[in-house]
Amino acid sequence: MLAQQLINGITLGGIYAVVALGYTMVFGVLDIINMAHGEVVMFGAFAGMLLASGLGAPLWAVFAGAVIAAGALGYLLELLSLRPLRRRRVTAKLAPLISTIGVSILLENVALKLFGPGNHPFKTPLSDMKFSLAGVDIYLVQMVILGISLMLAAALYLWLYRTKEGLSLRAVAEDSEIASILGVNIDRAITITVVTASMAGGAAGVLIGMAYSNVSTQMGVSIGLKGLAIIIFGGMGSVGGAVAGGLILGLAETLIAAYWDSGYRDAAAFFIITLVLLVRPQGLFGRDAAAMRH
Amino acid sequence: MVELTADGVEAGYGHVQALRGVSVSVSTHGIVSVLGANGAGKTTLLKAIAGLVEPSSGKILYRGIDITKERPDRIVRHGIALVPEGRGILTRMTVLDNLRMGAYCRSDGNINGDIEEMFNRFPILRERQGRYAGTLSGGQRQMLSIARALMSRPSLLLLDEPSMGLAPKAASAVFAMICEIHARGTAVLLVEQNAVQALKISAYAYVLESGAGVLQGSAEDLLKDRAIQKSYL
Repeated sequence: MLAQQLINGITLGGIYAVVALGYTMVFGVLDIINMAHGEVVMFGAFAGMLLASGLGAPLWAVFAGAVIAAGALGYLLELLSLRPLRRRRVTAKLAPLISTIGVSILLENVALKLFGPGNHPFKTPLSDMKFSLAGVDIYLVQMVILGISLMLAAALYLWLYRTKEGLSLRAVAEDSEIASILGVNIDRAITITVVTASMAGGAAGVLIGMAYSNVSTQMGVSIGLKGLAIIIFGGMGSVGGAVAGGLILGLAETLIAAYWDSGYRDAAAFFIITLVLLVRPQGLFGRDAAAMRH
Repeated sequence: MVELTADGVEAGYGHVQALRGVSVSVSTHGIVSVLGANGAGKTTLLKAIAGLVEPSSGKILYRGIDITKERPDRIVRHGIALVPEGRGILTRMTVLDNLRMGAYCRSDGNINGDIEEMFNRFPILRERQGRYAGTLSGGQRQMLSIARALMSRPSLLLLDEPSMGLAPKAASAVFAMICEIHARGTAVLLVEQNAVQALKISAYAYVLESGAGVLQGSAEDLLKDRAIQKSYL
């Protein structure tokens, strides 16, 4: 029973981690919370759903389609809702935040119009395949979800900390003016960040579709709140914090639902956040509070 | 050879006019200093040259190329590097990563060789290469900031108050370093409040007051100038 719940929890945590990575990357570089990220995840999930359930496409094509659709959406988000604010030298952090809230509302309603209300089944060839290991049922889907989550997190980490591109993004994250005099094209760096974060979001959308076997146009809101909770918990802008925070939240939710009351499941996230903010306000992996920017 | 000419540069932030028609010229023959009190427009002049502030009028030519409206990331590729006021090091990155960022605009294969050379010139940076740059002392930060600027292999180095906040000994080391860099063939435009030290290593200097040039001449003449001695020395 416990082993079963741990596997379920880690699977859910892996998904949360990938969602949180999208938030943490954008926060790291732009210093804003992208409130439209949950809806980008949702669009990725629907692109994947259309390919998987509608066309019966193979899994790699489902991921590719979702990643491309979400990446394109991220590009439009930067081009139409973030860049114009930078051009006008709007310095208030609130402006881009509100801009992304507007985009999130727009996207949710466009999705409702396009796809209709309610749950849409997400079928993959793997959906019902499972095997038993020492009395524990493991769905193939769970292995795929876990494998892809860990791969994405590792790839993002290596990209940020082992490549020249990642080096420049970290420089922009700390001080974009200094990065620019060292030769970094800031608009390009921000575009790369938002598009990459959105692509990870598209992959997360497919993982969610696979995990729950259905998707809905409202899924962006709840997944967005979880993602936000995780980066507050793990430390804003921290890659390790997003992964650890995602896994801890996934496990906590699953264990609470299994051993206590499934009604308290969603409370887990906010209970953990409250606790963390009381004890360690900068988050698990965050920089110390004095160094945190506003 | 004349490297840079700024001609009648006006620039500001919002409604505040920080530069009201400033002209300077920098050649490879001798360090050029810009002196003046706080708020005279010295930093804005360097920011305008580096592309961080867009001039509202006037012209900035670098080796005959108009760079007045160029973006900062393009200007550094022309060969102009800025050591910003307050050093501008990336405190959350290691010393080594700061140096690597200095070479971001390069794509040749000699970057590691240049890092090695910086370590030879600034041994303390080799010792601290894996530490976060935020753990360095003021003098070490200035060394890192200069070394990082040199990593772009500039032909013109802009230095904004490199001696600010440094103990006299560390400041002298920085001035000696600037002389050495210039002796190796890099043109230098130095902005300083420490007028005496700056004039001692410069060939030519400009004095700014409220965003306009009020005086210019050879460093030797300015050091003897009564008015200068009264206001700045």
